[in-house]
Amino acid sequence: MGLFSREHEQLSDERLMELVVKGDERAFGTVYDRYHGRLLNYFHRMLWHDREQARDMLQDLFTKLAQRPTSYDPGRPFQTWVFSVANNMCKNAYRHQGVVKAAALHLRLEPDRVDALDGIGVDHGHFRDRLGEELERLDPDHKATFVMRYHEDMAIKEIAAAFGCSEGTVKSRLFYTLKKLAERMKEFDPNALHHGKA
Amino acid sequence: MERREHYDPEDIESLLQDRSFDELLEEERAYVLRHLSSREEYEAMRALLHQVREDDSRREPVTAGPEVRDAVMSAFRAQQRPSWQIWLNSVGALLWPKEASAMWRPALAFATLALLIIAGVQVMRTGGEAMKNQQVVENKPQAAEEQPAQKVGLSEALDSVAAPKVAPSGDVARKPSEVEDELIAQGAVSEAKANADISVVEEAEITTDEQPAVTLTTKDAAADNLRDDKSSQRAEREANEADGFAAQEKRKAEAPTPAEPAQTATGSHVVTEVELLQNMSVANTSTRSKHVLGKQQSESATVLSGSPEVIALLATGW
Repeated sequence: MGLFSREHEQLSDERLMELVVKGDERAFGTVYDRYHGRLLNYFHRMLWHDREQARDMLQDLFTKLAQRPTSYDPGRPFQTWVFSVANNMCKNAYRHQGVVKAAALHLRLEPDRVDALDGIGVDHGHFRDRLGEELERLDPDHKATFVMRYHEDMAIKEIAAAFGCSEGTVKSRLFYTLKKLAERMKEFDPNALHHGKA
Repeated sequence: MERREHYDPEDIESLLQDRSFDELLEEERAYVLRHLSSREEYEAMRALLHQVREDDSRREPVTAGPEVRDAVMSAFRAQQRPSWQIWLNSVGALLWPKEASAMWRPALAFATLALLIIAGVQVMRTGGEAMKNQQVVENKPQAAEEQPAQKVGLSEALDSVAAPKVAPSGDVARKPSEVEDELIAQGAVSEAKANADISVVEEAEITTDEQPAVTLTTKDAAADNLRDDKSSQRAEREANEADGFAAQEKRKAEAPTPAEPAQTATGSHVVTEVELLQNMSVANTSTRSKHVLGKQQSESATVLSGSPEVIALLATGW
């Protein structure tokens, strides 16, 4: 048993999916173990840091994969394919809960920023919330590109494959997203605070 | 200038990650300032990028409980389950429903369907039996028609055995006086006795030609009868004379035309053992009667030759 488990862990994602299509339960379990953490955090960041919803989305994704393993395109890397599926699920979630989340976001845009501005150091908890809020304002594709690049550490090429666009498009999205976030979150720039106090 | 051509606006990310604005080369600063408004903007972007990285490293990853994995794996197992197990489960759910009260409508429907099927099968069975009875009724008249035909064939065969014994020779069919005249005219009075024996055998052959199965037996029987009856000819002749003529006349009256026995004999009737034995007995009987007739004829010829009237006729020039 242990020998077979180790063999499955050494297999590539694509090879594991071939076994999954043939009905290999252990291969399916290995794929789940390999990707469930990253996908759960991706859903968590993309879906308003809602853990329960992130878990539901993760379960839905792997349930769909279990029911229709042939939906995976063997010609594509599994990682980019599964993140593209996750991104499409997030877009659907945006559409369905757009109004509710917009109202909640409007309420949450009223935090007291003074706390963050008081210290020279950065309040990481507050920064996290602010970053999340600003990401919610972005276009879904720009947000997903930013999360994939700076939270999931995916390569430009992989992100491009996940979105089905060119690498230049991904780089351009990242550049303008960084520029926009930096402009909106100037209060967290230690240099700006230093210069301002000075 | 050539190095600047290698940079794209998107490639600022690598510079932001690696070096501060002060660490940039002159060409790199010029490139950055072409796409960003100022040094502060570059530093703000760089700080944000580092904070995001730092925050991401400090953030505790969200974990899914084992219940999620169990649910996903059970979904996979359910998908891989053989179809016959699913079918059995459906049968089990049908046989043991959780809410039995809700099953009375389907049960009623199934019971009605079963009754209809049973009734249909019963109707088909009774219909099949009626058809069989009708066929039997239709076949009985045919069999009744066929049996008389066989009887007729048998009787005709019997007649064919009996009738030619008179017809070919024509001796018995004629009056004794005519026979005597012919015999005298032919001058075969002395040979009449021998001819009579031969004619009997020939008659048997002619008669049995139409029934090959009986031929040999009839010939043998005739020959045996000739040998056996020679000694008792005279005693039997007198005793059977009247009966023989009577039987001949009766057969003559009942005998069909000569073509009829041939037609019946050439039919497709298969001679059974019983019929063969019957034919043999009939042949023996007919042969014996023919033999008796031949004897009578020869006797009559002998008697005529011995009569003084015939001698007188012959003497006068006949």
